[in-house]
Amino acid sequence: MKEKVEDILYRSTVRIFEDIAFMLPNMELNEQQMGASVEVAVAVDFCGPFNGKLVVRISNSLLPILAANMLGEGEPPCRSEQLDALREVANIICGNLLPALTGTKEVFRLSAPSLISSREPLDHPNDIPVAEARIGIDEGRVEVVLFIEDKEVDR
Amino acid sequence: MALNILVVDDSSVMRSIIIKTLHLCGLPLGEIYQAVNGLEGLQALEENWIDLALVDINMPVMDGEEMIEKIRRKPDIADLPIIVISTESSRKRVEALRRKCDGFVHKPFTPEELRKAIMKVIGGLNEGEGGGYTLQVNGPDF
Amino acid sequence: MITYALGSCLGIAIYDPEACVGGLLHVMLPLSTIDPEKATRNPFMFVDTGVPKLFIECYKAGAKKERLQVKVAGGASSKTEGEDLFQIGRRNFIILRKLLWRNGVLLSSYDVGGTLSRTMSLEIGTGRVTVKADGITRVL
Repeated sequence: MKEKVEDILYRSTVRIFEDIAFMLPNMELNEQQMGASVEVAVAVDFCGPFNGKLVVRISNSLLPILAANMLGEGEPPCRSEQLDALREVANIICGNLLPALTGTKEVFRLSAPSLISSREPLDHPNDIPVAEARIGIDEGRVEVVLFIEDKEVDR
Repeated sequence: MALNILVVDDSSVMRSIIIKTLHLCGLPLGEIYQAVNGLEGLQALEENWIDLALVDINMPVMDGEEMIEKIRRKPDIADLPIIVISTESSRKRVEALRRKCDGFVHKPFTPEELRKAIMKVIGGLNEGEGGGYTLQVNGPDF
Repeated sequence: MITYALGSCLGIAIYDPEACVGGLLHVMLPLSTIDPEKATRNPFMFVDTGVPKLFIECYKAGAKKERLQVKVAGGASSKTEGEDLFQIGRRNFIILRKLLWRNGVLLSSYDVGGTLSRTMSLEIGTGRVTVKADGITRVL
């Protein structure tokens, strides 16, 4: 079951990066991507039939490209816009991931995405990662982690 | 007649994407107003004549659903055409939203999907006819 | 103008109905960076080099960007999505959309994806674009 959740998380993430940021993830991470840092992170809290959060971490080098592509601009926008682009990407991934996991009967409420430290110790007792996806793009990497407060999704 | 449009979304990047799409629709655009939440959106409606509102749902301070409910209760703007642009996927919520608004566009969307929803509400241009869809004559590549 | 065997390749038809100028491009791969030398010899092989040239050549013939209708077909996968490791068809379309968005152009219509090979034609006198797949022809 965990594999299925990870597969859905992976596909949801890839699809969003392709569709709104026009970025082409590698099939498998290469050495450079595996060694890349993921310095920037955002989190989206959600509540519904189960509560949790989605964390998206990304290499700094990818942020300007992400934002420029989303805006359809040749030059990257300012840093605050880049971060806003990442927040919106996280919002859209989360909003599409949850119905992919549970179907369209359930109602989830998402909070506004917020910037967090990528090194932030996630030591809240309910912060148990249930699925993680990593994708390589250009010289960088994106990591997406799904945390759920209870393990309902495993059933 | 120039159309005044209100774009309500807490993401500035998303507002920019929507506004760029508006410019590419070939519509006679007047003013485009922006708001970061439902409350600001209502203030913009108080102060300006708006012909169409494009509204996100999940926003802080006041969400899109509450904003739309308040609009539908005000006699002078109750009939404002509204298109919801949201990640919302719950069948129940989407049906409830569709009853209150004139169009629903699911994120992620292509600019063509947004254009189609806008044209359906505003009317005028037939699908597949007319000129091209661009006002950006000098792009970086062509 | 007609182009055949659009599997993962993309057929891109652009047409200015006022100038009666148009072009039809058949691209195979998304990015020229994988083989810059080949892209220099044949820019029309790649989305990122072929599409700008298509537009620019049409401008030279009298087309105006703001009048150009853009229609696309192809981008199929040879197998089911899970088995299509390289997803060339999908990637071709993604890069095309990125290019069009950057340059402020929306698609008029498109028929992409799936697993069927397509044939695409553009009638220069009328701008009519048709796509044939699995024996069925329809106007795009």
